[in-house]
Amino acid sequence: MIIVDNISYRVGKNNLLKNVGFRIHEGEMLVIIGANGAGKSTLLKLLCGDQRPHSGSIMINDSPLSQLSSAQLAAIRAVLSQHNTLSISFTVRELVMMGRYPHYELRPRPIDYEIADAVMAETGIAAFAERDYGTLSGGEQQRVQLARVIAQIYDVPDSYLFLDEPVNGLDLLYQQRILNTARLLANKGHGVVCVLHDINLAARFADKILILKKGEMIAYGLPSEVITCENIHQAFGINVRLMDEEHSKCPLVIPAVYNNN
Amino acid sequence: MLLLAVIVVSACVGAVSITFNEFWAILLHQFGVSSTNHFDPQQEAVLLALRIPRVLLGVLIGAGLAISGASLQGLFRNPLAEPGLIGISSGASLFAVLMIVLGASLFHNLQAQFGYYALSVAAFTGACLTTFLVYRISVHRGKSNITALLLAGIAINALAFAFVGLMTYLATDEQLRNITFWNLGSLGGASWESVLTLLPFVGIPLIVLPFMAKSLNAFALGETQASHMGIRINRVKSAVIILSTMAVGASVAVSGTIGFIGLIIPHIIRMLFSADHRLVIPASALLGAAVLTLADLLARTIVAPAELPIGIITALVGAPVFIYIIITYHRKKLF
Repeated sequence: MIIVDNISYRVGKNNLLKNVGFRIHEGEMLVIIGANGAGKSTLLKLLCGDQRPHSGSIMINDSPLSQLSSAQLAAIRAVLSQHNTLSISFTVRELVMMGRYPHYELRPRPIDYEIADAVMAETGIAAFAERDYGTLSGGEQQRVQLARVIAQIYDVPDSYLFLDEPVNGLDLLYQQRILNTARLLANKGHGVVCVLHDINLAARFADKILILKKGEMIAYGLPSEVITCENIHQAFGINVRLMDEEHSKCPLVIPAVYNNN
Repeated sequence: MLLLAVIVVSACVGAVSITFNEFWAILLHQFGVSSTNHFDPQQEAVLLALRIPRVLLGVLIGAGLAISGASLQGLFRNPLAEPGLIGISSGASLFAVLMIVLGASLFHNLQAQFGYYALSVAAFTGACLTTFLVYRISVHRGKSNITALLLAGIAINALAFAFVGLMTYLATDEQLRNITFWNLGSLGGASWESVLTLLPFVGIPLIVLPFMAKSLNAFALGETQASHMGIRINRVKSAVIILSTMAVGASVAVSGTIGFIGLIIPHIIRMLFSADHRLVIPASALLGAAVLTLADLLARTIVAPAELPIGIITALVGAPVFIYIIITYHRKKLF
């Protein structure tokens, strides 16, 4: 379990995060939403250990995050950043194998190859395992990157996956595929934290949703409790209508007609 | 295999020609294995005192330049990176030129102490100083920023070349000739002494840099991504920069600046085999050693009895090869 206790983070005089606290359980998918600049990516950076909060604490599996080395952290959490460029072309298989780096010294063990194969099969990229990463489409590249980070924690119990806007710029099919894969990982018992822009996608896939506004938490809980007209209006400054959809446990959010006056 | 063949051929070809059989006979005789001597004493002397040290020097320098190039390209995530980019070569050049032009008056003590090697000592000092300066400029809050490192390298290179220009302006005709020759590189100064001096400076990077391969693969994804994978990125950065400076600084100090080896050898390996640094780093060292030995063979035979500066050969062959590589990369749409 990850326990985030009352953390704050500032740059200069600007409070990017103020008194944020929540928990991430194993087997749970938490989605963070909020307007641009609300502090979503900052929060994710603190969770990854890239930056330290100025006050408050983060405990991961009962150890303070700040006391874990980068190698120890790499063994229990994987991160998919927003921008992934590759300076040298690797094949898909080589890239997925990189996910296993924290788990072996010089030579990969048989289990590392097995895990890479299993992850490639599960994420549907086994067919182009031998292709150059640079020749793939954006959606395929994102699936390969996702496979790489999943491979990093695949066999580790009580491990976590952090995804920063993983479906940006992807078409409907790939949005579903990426988030489905993340959902399945949570179902297998890993903790998943994901920053998303699309409220409806968030509501569909998340166990819990956290809404940030200007660095403060304005709502945190089950999608059906959190997705309300008031919360959305407060977070994004737009009026929305909710529409019940029969196959979903949470209503659909539809922006009201935008009125400039 | 290629390297071994090149070594043997290079050792045999030259002003005093030695056949393959004679080569082995001399070696076996030297190690006391066989007592037969189907060779001239002159051949033996040339092989042992001149040819072999020169070939070994070529092997060391070629391996050192290429392995540093391969590691720096990985570290900078940039296919154009080469040892010269972070000031190693320009610093060495500047100090060497200072030594040539002002040597007699200013560095009298240094010359008295190191004699013939004063130039090498100056060049190595220059390489280390400029690289350290470039690295310091790029460090902000204890972390070295790669973009800042490249930009600082460009700035320091420009500054160093300005001073080199100034020195050239002040130099006499005799000194100018020395400067030009030094800037184009040559293995002409080879002796067992220079080989043994260079050995640790190139040997340590050759042993340690392959262990950085996994980390450098992760660097290809980005620094943040590499740190998320548990790579201690600051340690990798300092290690690669220090080891490359050691190898290249010492090589430049012995032979002058030799271009293109550090730049194109890693590209050739990537094109032929794979971009995995676990292969690229050691394979670059082998190919670099073979190519430089071969280039030196050409340098000392095509205009015999005179010698061409080796830098001319590596640039003449290297530039077209590099252009070819760029075009093939375009075709494969790799950038």
